[in-house]
Amino acid sequence: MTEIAAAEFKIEWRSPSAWVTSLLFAFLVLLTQALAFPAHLAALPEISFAAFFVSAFFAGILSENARLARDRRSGTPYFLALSAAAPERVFAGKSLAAFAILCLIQCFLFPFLVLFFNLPFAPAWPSALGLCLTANAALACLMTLFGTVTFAWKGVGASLGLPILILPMALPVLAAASIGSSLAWAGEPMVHYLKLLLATDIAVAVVGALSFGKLLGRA
Amino acid sequence: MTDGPILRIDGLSVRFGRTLALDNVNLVLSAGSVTLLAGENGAGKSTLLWAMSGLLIPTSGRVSAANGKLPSVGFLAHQPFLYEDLTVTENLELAARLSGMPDPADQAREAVERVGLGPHAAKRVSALSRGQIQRAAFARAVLPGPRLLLMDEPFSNVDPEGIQTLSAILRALRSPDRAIVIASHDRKIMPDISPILVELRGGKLLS
Repeated sequence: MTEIAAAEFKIEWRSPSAWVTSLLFAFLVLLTQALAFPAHLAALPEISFAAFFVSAFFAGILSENARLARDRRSGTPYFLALSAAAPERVFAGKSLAAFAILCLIQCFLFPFLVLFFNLPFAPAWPSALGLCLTANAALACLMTLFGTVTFAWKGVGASLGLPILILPMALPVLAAASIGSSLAWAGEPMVHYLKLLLATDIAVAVVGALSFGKLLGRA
Repeated sequence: MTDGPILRIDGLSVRFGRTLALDNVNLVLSAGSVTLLAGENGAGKSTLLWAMSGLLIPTSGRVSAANGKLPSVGFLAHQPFLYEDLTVTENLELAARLSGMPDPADQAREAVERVGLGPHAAKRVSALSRGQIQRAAFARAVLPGPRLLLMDEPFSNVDPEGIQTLSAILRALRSPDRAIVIASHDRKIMPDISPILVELRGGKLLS
């Protein structure tokens, strides 16, 4: 699992045009949202956290689409499908790389979140971090799963397939992470949102692991 | 030299939209055999190799293995199946690791040397010429020692010296428990190993 994750992450790191584009895109989406809301609304933690998660998610999709384009050129998913590695291991490795990339995007965005939305350092940050990591796990698994579904698609479907398929599944995750973070910020219990995200993580990981072999084309 | 069947293909048909790429193909690949799939461009050679690999689900018919489980497959296709932003050695090391081979780093280094890419081992695949990529893809396909080796135009874009190197490796790979299938429009490819000739025309098997 780690060897696949390391290889995928190394490839991403060695494609500066892809990750610089993703980071710049994330920054612009966050900035646009910060400027779009009136000051009294932008000060609401619901708005600031939603802006943060949405920006990171869109940048993650951009990065995943770039990776898919490379995969289509080289055919590397077929190499993984024919390898002796168990499909669950391949799924976990690819998801781990997507998770790391999402975290990297969020690390980059974090100072701008604090700056643009005027968020002070508060005791709620660790809870928000927990929600963020749990949401990232679900999003990374969804990206891997739907990325593999759309890998063999051609034409317009190749570019639009992933965002269109993933959005209905990702929106509840983003909403739970945003609402949970804002509750944590207000000092209210957010455990049920954390549980909801954990349940989503498990469900998506199980579905992904079980279906990945078929999706890769492994007979 | 031949043993029991490694792969059995029964009534295989593949349709892409309105095009019938393969039409009721029946074939048995025995262990120890070397098969040459000959035919002109568009005859269905590549499609048959993809179906044999298990990566292409046929429209009808089936591809089955003697013991019910498809054998390990090494596939050299038109796409290299190599990560463009990894070096040649890194790609082969990953292939060796995923196959559970001992000392993957050493195995990768040896494989790189064997196909004559030693001086380019540390180069990223994206920086190689097409012939060099073909050599690296060849090394990737044969590295884990698969029981079924599928090679689609294995020498395309390779210089004469490279063809000699890769031919020698292919000859050495013949083994009583392995089946090798080479798809080529050139019937004279590797005449010294006297492969079983199977000809495709318009998706139909002629011989």
